[in-house]
Amino acid sequence: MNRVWKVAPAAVALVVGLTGCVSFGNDDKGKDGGPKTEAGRPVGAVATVDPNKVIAKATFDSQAAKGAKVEIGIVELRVVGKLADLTLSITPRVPGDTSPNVYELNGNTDPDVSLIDTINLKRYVVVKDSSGKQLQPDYIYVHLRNGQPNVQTYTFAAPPAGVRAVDVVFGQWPPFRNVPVTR
Amino acid sequence: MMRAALVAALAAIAVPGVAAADPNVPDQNVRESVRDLQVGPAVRAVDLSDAVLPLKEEQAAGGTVTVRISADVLFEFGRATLTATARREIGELAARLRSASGAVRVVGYTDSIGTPAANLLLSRRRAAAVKTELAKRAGAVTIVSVGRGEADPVAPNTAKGKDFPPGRAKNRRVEVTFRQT
Repeated sequence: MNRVWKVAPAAVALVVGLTGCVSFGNDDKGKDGGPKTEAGRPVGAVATVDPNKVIAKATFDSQAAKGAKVEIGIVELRVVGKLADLTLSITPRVPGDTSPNVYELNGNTDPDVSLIDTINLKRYVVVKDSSGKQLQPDYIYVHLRNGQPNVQTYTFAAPPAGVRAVDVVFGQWPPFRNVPVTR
Repeated sequence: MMRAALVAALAAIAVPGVAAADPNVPDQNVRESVRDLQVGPAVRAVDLSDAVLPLKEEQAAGGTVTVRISADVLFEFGRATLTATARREIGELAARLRSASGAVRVVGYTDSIGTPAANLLLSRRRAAAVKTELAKRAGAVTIVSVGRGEADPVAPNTAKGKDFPPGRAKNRRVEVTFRQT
């Protein structure tokens, strides 16, 4: 397994940040000293993520409960090799629920996360591996910590080199327009 | 002597596995405790073929061309306001319409979220917005616009009784049909 899913509450992200990285003993070093895959993707390490440092954020009403809100922040959209990782910070604020999931927040619907490429008129949906498993956190079984930022990563095919920004669609809410693509 | 004893003691602490090894473990048990890792099935290819979907499609049959563009790139969310991408795409389409024969038909559609009445109204307003922009750029061309709401879906809005967002995304669209000369 060469990917570590960033599905963690802020506390875990903070611990990772303090300890630098988590190594799994791969000796195949990349140019920067870290282990890399053939496609140039880092392996065996979790990048430090500060869920409070976002490039865009918005708060939406949620159907999870009366008065429920969800704050969605975009930490980054980074292309590495043939793939692009969208890292989000999701802060649910659901009265009376300590651990809502994305499915509930989105009105009992698949969030259907996608990227809209307005240059090439393409929609990028979450990629699947050869067994059909989507490279994203499970939107039902992964529960979020209510009132705290939760980091999640969704993986897509990388937009072509000329694409500098895309729209990010998450769930039933209005899209984030012109999210910069980091390369 | 003292020094040798100290080194031995430190070695025992530094290598607890050796120091604590049970001499009564049979060699066969030790051999059986080491197993091959079956890594082959654990590595799966990532399939990108279905990960990129078109937001603009074109069909031609018998001289009639239909261009279908996703409402997600044409309009602001839930509104009939054209985006910059919409103006670019409509501009390109308008250039082709100058040589079209007969009336150009613009039809707006929505997905199934919301009331049918609201969807019908939104689809009409969106089709009208596209018509207005086309008329500005295409010159003397007859253009009619129609809103069909959630009618005539090109993909299922639900699957197995549940909401199906990828299908709904395909249904939010505007279709421009014209006859090519």
